[in-house]
Amino acid sequence: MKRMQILLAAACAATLVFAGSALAAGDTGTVTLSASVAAKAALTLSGNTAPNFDLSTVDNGTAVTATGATTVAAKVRTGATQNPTLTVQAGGDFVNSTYAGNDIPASDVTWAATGNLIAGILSKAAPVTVNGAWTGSNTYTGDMTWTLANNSNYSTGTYSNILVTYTLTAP
Amino acid sequence: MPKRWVSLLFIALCLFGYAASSQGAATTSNLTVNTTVAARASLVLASATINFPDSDPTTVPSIGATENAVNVTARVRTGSASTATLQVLAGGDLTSGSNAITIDNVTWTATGAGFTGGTMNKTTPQAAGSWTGPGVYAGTFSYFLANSWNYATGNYSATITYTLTAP
Repeated sequence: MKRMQILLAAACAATLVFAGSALAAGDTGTVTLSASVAAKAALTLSGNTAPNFDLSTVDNGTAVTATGATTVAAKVRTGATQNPTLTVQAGGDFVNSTYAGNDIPASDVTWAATGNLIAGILSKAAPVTVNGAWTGSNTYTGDMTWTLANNSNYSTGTYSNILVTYTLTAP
Repeated sequence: MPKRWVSLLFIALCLFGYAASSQGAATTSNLTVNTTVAARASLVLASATINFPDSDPTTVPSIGATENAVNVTARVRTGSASTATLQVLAGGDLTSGSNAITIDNVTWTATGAGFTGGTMNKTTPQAAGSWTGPGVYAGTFSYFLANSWNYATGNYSATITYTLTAP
């Protein structure tokens, strides 16, 4: 009988301990978040996107600057240590359709730059760098103000436009 | 013992047995049945991984997870007036090598009674649900990542932990 009492007491004690430890309960769940971020590039040109050089009232030898700058916004997503690039390249020269052989070379066009851009000389032969020291993801902006040399050997006539192609690259 | 005495003893025993059986008897005993209903909590999230696909920041400023909406079930056994809570805490920012996207760029919306939306935090647990009394509470969570051109490329990951507590 005494052994029975001891067992009973032990069982009661165990029950009390169990009840006491179960007053509160909790559960947890773990979730892994993953995000894939790939390289991207988006270029926006605004402001004067069709600069015009009016030489009608300017003597040869005096450079002509187009009114209004071309504003560039280059949005780039790339590696933190990667270097995005922005280049421009002329599709050709100003072709004189009135007097053949009197074209104005694209290289007579230059631009001044502000912001994250650098100045340069237009070329139809190779892309010319416009970006400054760009590193990593960002939105790089600046203005390009275009100037035509207006050399003394320019002939009168009607000239074609030059199509300038911008290429923004996010490595 | 003579044979006659044996016969008499047999008869006497039979009579005694008959008398005893025909008289009837009943007895009762009490059994105390105890039960302990302790607090319990069980949390089930339908997906253990949440993926935000690569998207153009201009056209997709907020990236929805491919798993949206994620079913969540909180089973709670607690006092009828007690309040069970569900909280979520991020283990850190979304990281890819040395690059990071701060975890507060991750938000979630919720459906279902008691479930709440919010913004991920790596230092303070954020409320994700609250209920009074026991029950099975079902809802959904939908996760979103604020997109940006400023993120460095890479594959990012972070861990978040949900804690369901039944007082």
